[in-house]
Parts: sequence; C-alpha cells; structure tokens
Amino acid sequence: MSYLTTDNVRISGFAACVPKTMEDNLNLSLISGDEAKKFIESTGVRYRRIADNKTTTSDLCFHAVSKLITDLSWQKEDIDCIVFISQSADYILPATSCILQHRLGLSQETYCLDISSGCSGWVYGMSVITSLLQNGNFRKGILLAGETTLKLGSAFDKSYWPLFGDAGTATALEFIPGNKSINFHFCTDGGGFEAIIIPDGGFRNPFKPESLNYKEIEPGISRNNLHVHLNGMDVFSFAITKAPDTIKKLVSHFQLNIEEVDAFIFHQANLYMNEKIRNKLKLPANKVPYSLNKFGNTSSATIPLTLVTEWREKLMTSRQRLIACAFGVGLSWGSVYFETDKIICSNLVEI
Amino acid sequence: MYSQKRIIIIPENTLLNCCNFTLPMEADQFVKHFADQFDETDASEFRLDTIFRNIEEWSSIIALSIIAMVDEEYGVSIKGDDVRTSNTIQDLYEIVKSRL
Repeated sequence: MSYLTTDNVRISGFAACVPKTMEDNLNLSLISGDEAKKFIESTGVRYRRIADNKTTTSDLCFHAVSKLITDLSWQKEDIDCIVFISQSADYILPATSCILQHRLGLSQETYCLDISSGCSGWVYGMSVITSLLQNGNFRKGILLAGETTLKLGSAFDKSYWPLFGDAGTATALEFIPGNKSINFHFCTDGGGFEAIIIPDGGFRNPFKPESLNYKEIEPGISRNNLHVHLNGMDVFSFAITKAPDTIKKLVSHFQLNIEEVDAFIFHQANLYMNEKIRNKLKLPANKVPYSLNKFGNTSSATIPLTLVTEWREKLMTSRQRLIACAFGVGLSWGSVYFETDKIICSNLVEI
Repeated sequence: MYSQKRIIIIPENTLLNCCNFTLPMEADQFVKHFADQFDETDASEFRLDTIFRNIEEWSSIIALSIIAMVDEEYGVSIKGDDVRTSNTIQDLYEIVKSRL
C-alpha cells in the first residue's frame, strides 16, 4: 500500500521552458510522407522542440525557474530547498541541483537534491518536496523537472525520435499552515526495467568503444547501446492497465469525488495510448488536456508543461481540483490529487 | 513408488471445462476481434491460420490495438514478445486462452 498524504503546502506557481528550435514530423527523413501522416494521427505528435548541443536540461529548468521567481516576486533568500528531477543531468557527478543553487544565486543555506526519475518523476518529486516543506522548517521550495530526451535517443530510431521532445519546468511550493492536503498513490514494477533502458554507460555495463556501434534492429530503427531502447508494445500494455488502476485507487482510497475534478493531467506519452486510458476511466475529453501535438513526450516535464500551455487561464483565474497521473521508465507509476487557487502560471519561456 | 498409485487419465477437454470458470473463449470470435483492428483489409481474409505479419496493413500501431483489444475483450495483458513470437492468429489466441 503506497498511499501518501502531505499537508500544509501550497502550489504557488508553474513555469516551463522549451528550446526555440522545432522539428516537424512531417519533414523527417526518418518516416515517409504517408507513414508520417499516419504516425501523427495515431500518436498525436507533430512538433517537437530540440535543444542544441550546448543546452542541457538544467539550462531549460534554469530559465523556467528564473521567470517563475520573477513572476511570483519571491525573494531568493526565502527558498530553502530545490529538487531536480531528470535522467539527463549535467554531469555523472556532481549533482545538478548543486550547480543550480549557485547559478540561481540561492543562499548556501539551501537543501539541494537530485532524483533520477523519468516519466513518473514529477509525481514522485511532488511527494518529496511537499514532504520536505510540510512541517514548516523549510519555507519555500522549487521542484525542477525536465529532460533533453533527444540527447538520450537515436535520431535513426523511428520508434523513439519522432515521439520525444526537450523541456524543463519549475513548480513553486510553499509552507502554508492548514492548506488543503495533497494525496498520492505510487507503484513500481522493476520486473519491467528493460522495457525502457539505456543499456551501457552506467556501472552495470560501463562504457566501452563498442557501446558506440549502431545496430539495425529493423528498417528505420538503428541505435547504439548508449541510446534509449524503448519496447513500445510492453510500455503500451503496461500503461493502459496501470494508469487507470492508480487513478481508481487514488480516488477510492481518498474518497475523492471524481465528478468534481476539473482536469486530469496525464503524462503525455502518445495520443493513442492516452486516449485508451481516458476511455477506460470514462473521462470527458474536455477535462483531459493534451500538449502532445506541440511538444511530444518530454518525460518528467509533461505534466507541468501541459498545465502551463493548456490550462494556464484556468489556473490563474479560478480554483482548480486536479488529478495528475504519470507512468513509464522503471517501470514506475503514480497519481496525485491536488488543488490550486488562482496561482501564478508563467508564459511559456522559449530559448 | 509411483507403481502403487493408480493413474487416471482425464481427457483434456474435461479438464479444461471444469477449470474454466470464465466465459468460454470462442476462436472465431477472437478472429473477428482481431480483424476489427484493421481498416483496409477485408474481414474475409482473416482465419485462425492467417500469418498476421504478412498482411500488408500490419503495422506497429495495429500491434498496439491488438494488445488493447485483448485487454478490453478478455482482461488479459499480453506483451511485445507475445506478439513478436506469434506467427498466426491462432498462436496469439492460444496465449490469450492460457491466461484467462
């Protein structure tokens, strides 16, 4: 039983940053005209943003959080903790959150933590940062979640490249005594660890020259062992059963009124899969926003990115009751119920 | 020690019938559900012994919709390897049946 409640924490704002450079799946040499149209229709992904060689996830997160701190009019000395969620850190070591503490000009009295997590990362990160803040020792915190997914995969792999994009996000949170609880449910199946994996370059299979050798798996799918190997069918069969399951458990355990939920923000994996999940839960289309068409799958960034680009007006002008659900690499999945009330939601930052 | 025991041979069908508490799974119904995932290929082209990978319309998206169909119609989870190691519709049918 992996249910969790955190109290006394308010979500004060969201921001997201994407690279200006855009790729259009209709113009990819990897997939032909007809195939590309079918691909876009079924996956829902047409445009994706791609970071240049010099730009890392932490750069995208840095610009997102800088904008958010300005829009919130926060004093930097009030920020007591930052948590950085990514699987594309700046270095093997040190932790990227330490670099960001200095770059953001935060006090040396700042708690900094990196968490290696992918698609489910924002939901897990929220549980960590709200737990840190909930007793009032830390006043304000920032959760950074992002990925340069296209630096992790092969440009010659049509089962990966056209689906993914780069983004960095920031979620601002603060200790407010008595604020409405946040409810979570989490699950893990490490038995599926090979469904999404970069085989080499860690310490199980250290980098060796052969790691760079491209292998053609099938026509249109070539990659090496430093690239993500994605078993689409396994991930699909996992997600269409586990994502509805965690939301049902969250709603039932915390006795939430599903009718009163204003929006269900799913990890943006692909439209075909996400619509299966939506239909299984019998959710109305107008309560399930998508940013897939514009940004593709940006790993742990998809939930805040979707909130910033598709739900901004509602977040800024009204009270919102939201359920977010994320699933993927690990295999790891979970869901969270939270409320917001007229919060700051920065305009999308493009660099 | 086995010689002291009497071996009773139960016909396979009997065993199946007495253990199968779910609705019986009909092969022709499975073929129909399978065929429903295709837009362009005529339903008459689908039989239990059809090698589905050779159907021109076969694609990775149709593979996903087969996985979704099996989940929805039979409540059974099949994986990428189940699809990859199957050649005919019957191969998949047998996998699904064994997990009911």
